[in-house]
Amino acid sequence: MNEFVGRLAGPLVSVGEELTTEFEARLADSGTLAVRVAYGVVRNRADAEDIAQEAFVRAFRRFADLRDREKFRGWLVRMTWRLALDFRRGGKRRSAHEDGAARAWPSIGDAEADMVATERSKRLWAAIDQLPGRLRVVIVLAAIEGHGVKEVAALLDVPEGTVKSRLFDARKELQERLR
Amino acid sequence: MSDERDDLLKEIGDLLGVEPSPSFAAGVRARIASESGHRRGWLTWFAWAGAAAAVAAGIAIFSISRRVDFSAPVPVTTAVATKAETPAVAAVETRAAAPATRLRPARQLPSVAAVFPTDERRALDALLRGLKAGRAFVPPAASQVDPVTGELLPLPPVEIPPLFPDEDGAIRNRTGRLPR
Repeated sequence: MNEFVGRLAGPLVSVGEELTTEFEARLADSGTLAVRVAYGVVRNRADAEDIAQEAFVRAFRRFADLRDREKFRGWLVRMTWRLALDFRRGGKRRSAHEDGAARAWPSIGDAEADMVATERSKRLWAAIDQLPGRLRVVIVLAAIEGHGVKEVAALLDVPEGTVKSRLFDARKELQERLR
Repeated sequence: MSDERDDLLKEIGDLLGVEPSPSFAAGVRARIASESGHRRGWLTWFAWAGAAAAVAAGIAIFSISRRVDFSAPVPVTTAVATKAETPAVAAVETRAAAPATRLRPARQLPSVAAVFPTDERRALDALLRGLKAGRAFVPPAASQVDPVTGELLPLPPVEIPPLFPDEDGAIRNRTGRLPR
């Protein structure tokens, strides 16, 4: 009897292990993307991590349908974006925005230059925030990890032409606001 | 795409260049594990609730089946409604006269309504009236007393002769035709 149960459960266990292994790979592969997408909306690292974790938990629930890498990344990005918007609308922000705090370039130790950079970051964030949602998500995704039009289209599940025109509009609006 | 625009995207990319903390992946795993535990907890709760409901239903069924135990030999008294204007049926209430050792008190037993045909009800009425007035016929054997103890003697066995229908449709026994 135990042998029979073992033979029956064997494939199930191996399928479960396989799914877990694949999910771990997606977590390693797309964790940074999810955190950055959330950060683009909430602009707080801790909140962004919370949101990205929640998106991963939801992705895990239906991972059997999301085993394809591209499908998974697209679903994850859209879910993270939606969760982040809900979070911001709900006013659940943990602390103040970290405008400029996340910039990747190293500080040159010049207080005046730091201040100018922070001011520029604030203006840029303000300009991004003023963009309509459909343009904002496109510009944020295009800026993250150097995604091209094709990749952004795949992530958002929209035609490439749509991404191109939205990217053009977003850049144009940003340029005007930053002038 | 102009260089200026490329610079803009790069600048935004720099703003978004946050890295997840080292505990990020562990946090995801912990959340998934806690959610699985939560679901298991719900399943366990449902299992316990189902078992409790089954036990409660069993107790209720057992209790009801004990309370309505009509097959038990309960001593009863019978009171017959004797109003003249009683319609074609009369209700008879049956109650326990004395609490039996393994039964509940009489007041807790259910009352039973029985329906009698009109002629039987009249016969019972007549018998009760006759007993009250001392006019009822009591067979001699039923009133014989033991001269030593003064107690009533046991009744001899009652023999009912077989009945036959005759050619006219009347009922007769060995001694002759019975009155209609």
